[in-house]
Amino acid sequence: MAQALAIQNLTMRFDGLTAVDRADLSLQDRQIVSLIGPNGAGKTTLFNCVTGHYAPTEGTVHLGKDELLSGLPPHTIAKKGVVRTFQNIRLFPAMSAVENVMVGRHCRTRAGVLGALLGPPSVRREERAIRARARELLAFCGAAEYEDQQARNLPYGVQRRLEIARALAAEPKILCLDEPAAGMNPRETADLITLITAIRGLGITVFLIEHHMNVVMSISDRVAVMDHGVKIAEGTPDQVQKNPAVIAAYLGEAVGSG
Amino acid sequence: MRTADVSHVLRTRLARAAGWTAAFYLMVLPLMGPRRGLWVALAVLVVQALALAADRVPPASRERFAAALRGGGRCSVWMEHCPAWVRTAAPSALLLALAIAGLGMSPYTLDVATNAGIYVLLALGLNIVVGMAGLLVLGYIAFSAVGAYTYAILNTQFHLSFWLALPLGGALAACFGLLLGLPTLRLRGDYLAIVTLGFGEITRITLNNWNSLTNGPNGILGIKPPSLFGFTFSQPKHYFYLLLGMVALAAFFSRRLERSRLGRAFVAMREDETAAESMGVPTLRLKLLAFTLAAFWGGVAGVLFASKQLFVSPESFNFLESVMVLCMVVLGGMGSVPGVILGAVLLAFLPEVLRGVAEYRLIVFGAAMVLLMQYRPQGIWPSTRRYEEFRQEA
Repeated sequence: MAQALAIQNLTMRFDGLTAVDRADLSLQDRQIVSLIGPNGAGKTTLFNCVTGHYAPTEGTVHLGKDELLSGLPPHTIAKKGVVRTFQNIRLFPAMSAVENVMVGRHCRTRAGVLGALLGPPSVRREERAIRARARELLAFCGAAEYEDQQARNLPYGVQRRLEIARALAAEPKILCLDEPAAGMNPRETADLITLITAIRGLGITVFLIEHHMNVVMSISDRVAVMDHGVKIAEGTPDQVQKNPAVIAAYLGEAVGSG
Repeated sequence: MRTADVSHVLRTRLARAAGWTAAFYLMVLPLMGPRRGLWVALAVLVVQALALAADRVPPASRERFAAALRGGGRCSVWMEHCPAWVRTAAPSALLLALAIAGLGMSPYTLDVATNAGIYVLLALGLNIVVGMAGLLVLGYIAFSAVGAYTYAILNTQFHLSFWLALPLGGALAACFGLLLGLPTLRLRGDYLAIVTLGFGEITRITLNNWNSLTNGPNGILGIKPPSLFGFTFSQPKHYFYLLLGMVALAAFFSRRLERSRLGRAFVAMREDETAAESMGVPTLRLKLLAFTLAAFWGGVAGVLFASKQLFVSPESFNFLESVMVLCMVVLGGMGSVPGVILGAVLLAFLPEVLRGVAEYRLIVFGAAMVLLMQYRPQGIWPSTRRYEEFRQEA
């Protein structure tokens, strides 16, 4: 299997605080890799470094074999194929569901000012293709019936899935999902598990931050655990669950408790 | 309610009304003198009385009235649902109607309509950056000044033809937009507004002081009117049709832009910049593009302004003009092309209509704006998006 993403020696410092401390992680093609850890462990900061929202203080992120991502702006990273969703949903609230997904096609389409103003057949064709693809993706994520509704009016679970559809529209090689199951009920969570597995089926590598352990343990190929900015464990779900350092991070140290 | 309570409420109300009236009287006293000021005080008193009367209206009917105002003018929603041929035909029909109406208008009406046309161009331009991309720009009229002076200088010095100056003035204004945008578009919200406000003032002050180029506060006289194949634009009628054509062109392009991939990206950027950037939308570049396009139309409007007035001076490009254009965009309905056109036409005509009340017209004008913002914050003809937004808040 080929390497999809390599995070090497990644450090992110904010003044005195080291949010991520020399993290190493590599994702293989078509894997589902989960990042878990207690709140404030630095998971989202690591995501922000990967997707370009932060420029890491030290260390590098490479896409594929040797394409350097760290230091590039988010839109360039998205175009190179690393696309994310947000922990606190960030849709375009006043746009309809299908328009939200259509925005995701921006970096894969071309029409410029002149194209917009003159509207030649090629541009119209492109616009039709954008809409058609957006509809397909809405259907793929199970939100087809909400196509024309404003994003702000959608039920919470649908908003989560819409955000995934929008990210898929940008044709990612690696899809970064930041707590997609947060706030979902068991039924929605089960649907989400099916969806993430289907996304892997499209040949996309999934990088997942999640707190729901049943989601993480049932679909992950590998699990990495962070605590206080440091990666404390990595392995298959089984290995991680048995790792004493992980148990200590989640349940507290046995030492000193008498 | 007991009689004692009623009289108590009434007394506080009357005291408040008297307070407001006195305050307004003192405010307008230096402007209007003691006698004419009394009229303003009287008007304030009447408004207070009306407000008092409105309180006696049962809450249910009042609610219904407010809801009707807020929900009324569902034009954009209605437009979305009417058959495609109506949507395509309506603007052309309106254009045709205006063209025919132009034949019967008095020179005075034609002149006012032409000025309104220039404002519509400005408002459509500003709408790209304020309405679509969501960037607050305050010194917009400066771009128009660039266009106007481009034509004024090149025409008086080098006899440059109007038809060449039109794109050139737009392009030069666009260059200024680009130059201003490059360093400032990293700023968000209020900061950008202040920087653009500064730019507007700097432009005006430069025009006022660069005597060798702009002839300073005296302005530039002797600009030739446009001509086409030997036909010279000399009457208000000619300018009316010229502006009608330009407005149609600008509205058409605005509509096209709005529905394009770029227009969508502009709106996404306005809604959530971070999310748009994460989806691969190069926000900095698109902001610059919105800025440049808006500046271009500002420049074009400036050239038309100079060609109509045949005279330019820095006075015409003061801050109030920028504010006026911004008001047109906001009152009409940000991001809605028909709304912005309507807003510009209304605000351009209102002062003329109000000529009857002479010097009080600015007060009436102000009151109209306050009322509009109070009862229809989404604008007169809001875009479908904003209509939904405000309907929910209501």
